[in-house]
Amino acid sequence: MNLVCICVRSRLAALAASGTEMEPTSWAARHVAACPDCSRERRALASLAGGLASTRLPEPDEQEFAAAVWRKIDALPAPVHRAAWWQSPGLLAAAAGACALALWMAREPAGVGVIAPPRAPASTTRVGGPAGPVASISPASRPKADLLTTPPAAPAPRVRKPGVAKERTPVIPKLRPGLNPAAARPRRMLASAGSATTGSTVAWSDWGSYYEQKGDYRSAAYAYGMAHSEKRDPTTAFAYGRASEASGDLASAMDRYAAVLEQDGG
Amino acid sequence: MHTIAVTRPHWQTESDDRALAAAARDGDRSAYAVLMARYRGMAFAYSLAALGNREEAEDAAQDAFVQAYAAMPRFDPDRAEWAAWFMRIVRNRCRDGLRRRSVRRPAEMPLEIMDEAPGPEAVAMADSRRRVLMQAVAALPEAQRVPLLLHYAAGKTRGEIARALGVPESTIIGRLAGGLKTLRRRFGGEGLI
Ligand SMILES: [Zn+2]
Repeated sequence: MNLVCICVRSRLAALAASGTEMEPTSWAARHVAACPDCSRERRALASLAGGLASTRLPEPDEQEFAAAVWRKIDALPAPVHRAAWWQSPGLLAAAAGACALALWMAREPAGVGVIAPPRAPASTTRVGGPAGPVASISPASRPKADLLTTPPAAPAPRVRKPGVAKERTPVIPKLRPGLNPAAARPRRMLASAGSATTGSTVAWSDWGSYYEQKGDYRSAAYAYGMAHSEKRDPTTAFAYGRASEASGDLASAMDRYAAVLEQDGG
Repeated sequence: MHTIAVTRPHWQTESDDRALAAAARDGDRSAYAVLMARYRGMAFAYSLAALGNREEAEDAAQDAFVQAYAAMPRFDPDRAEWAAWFMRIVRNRCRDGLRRRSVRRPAEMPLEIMDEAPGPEAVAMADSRRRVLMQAVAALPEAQRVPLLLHYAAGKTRGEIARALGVPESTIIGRLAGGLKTLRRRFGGEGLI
């Protein structure tokens, strides 16, 4: 199997998935007609798609399904109609107290509001961001219910290291912490550590492969594109083309494949 | 008790999801029943493809309709498409279902995704071969398995699947292609039909 066969195989799966036929005069169609392996591959993919289409997912009975949904809906607890807050003397008093506290705090120097005793700064808990005006309360004075119901504070914003390229942002933020490929495959990733152009411990081609496995072909194409701009070799160009094609960007894909074929001499 | 509109409801003439959702939000249960009839198939097919078990899938799809009904007062038809909003509820419900399971490995998914009464085309394929094909499908990652089953086994279009999953259609084509390639590698695929 040569590089042309690899390019064609990639197209065959995409064509089968999109339900389109190859342009009969295209180079790929001419290759399939002449290459027994690729021809067999096309028949196998069509057979696979046909086999899948011949299975049927069962369907629930329409009447039973709807009846079950309405039963569940009717069993829902009725919404609790609460009295308006100003109709409750306790809440009214609490609101008045909160207003008084707000007025009192407004008299403090602008920027800092401290409820904890000023003599015990070491035991105060910071509830604001890492810098700037901060409101602090001591753990003892903080109501326990608040600790249970308030969601955890957002993580402190990362400090941008000098020299980190701004262009990394389109790819990196999508990565969830639990799926960090650097953590999953450290040896392979560290092999490209210290890449001068990326400033990252993870090579672009590895990001591409990671996103391709996740099915996010647009990000994969972006990452392979970056890898290809660093290292212009046929393998990266082919991966770039494959990811572009899977993401639906057929024009870029054809450019990349054409570049591969030119480099391959085929 | 179901509310029956005496005058001809406006969604019967406009017949679009937005009007149905607006009527349902205002308490018109017959409008919600129409939405249910319209999206029951997709909700159940998605749940079955994601969970791999008929009973759990039926529960998940029903629960999603119940959750959506309870949340209808917060739904704004002018700001969101009902189908996308509802399918997000379905996906979250299925995710919860998977989380509740102690074992999440797809290879151990229950294989109750085949119809007990296959059509004439399916009879042509040996039952054992069909079973092996479904085992290979069940072992696929969810991102590929769900579009493959929705498209080929449930007959949903790529556009419908894209809307249901909240991704572009090109992503669905990519996932279908990836799924076919993985199946071809693991299962073969020649001579199925
Ligand atoms: Zn070939």
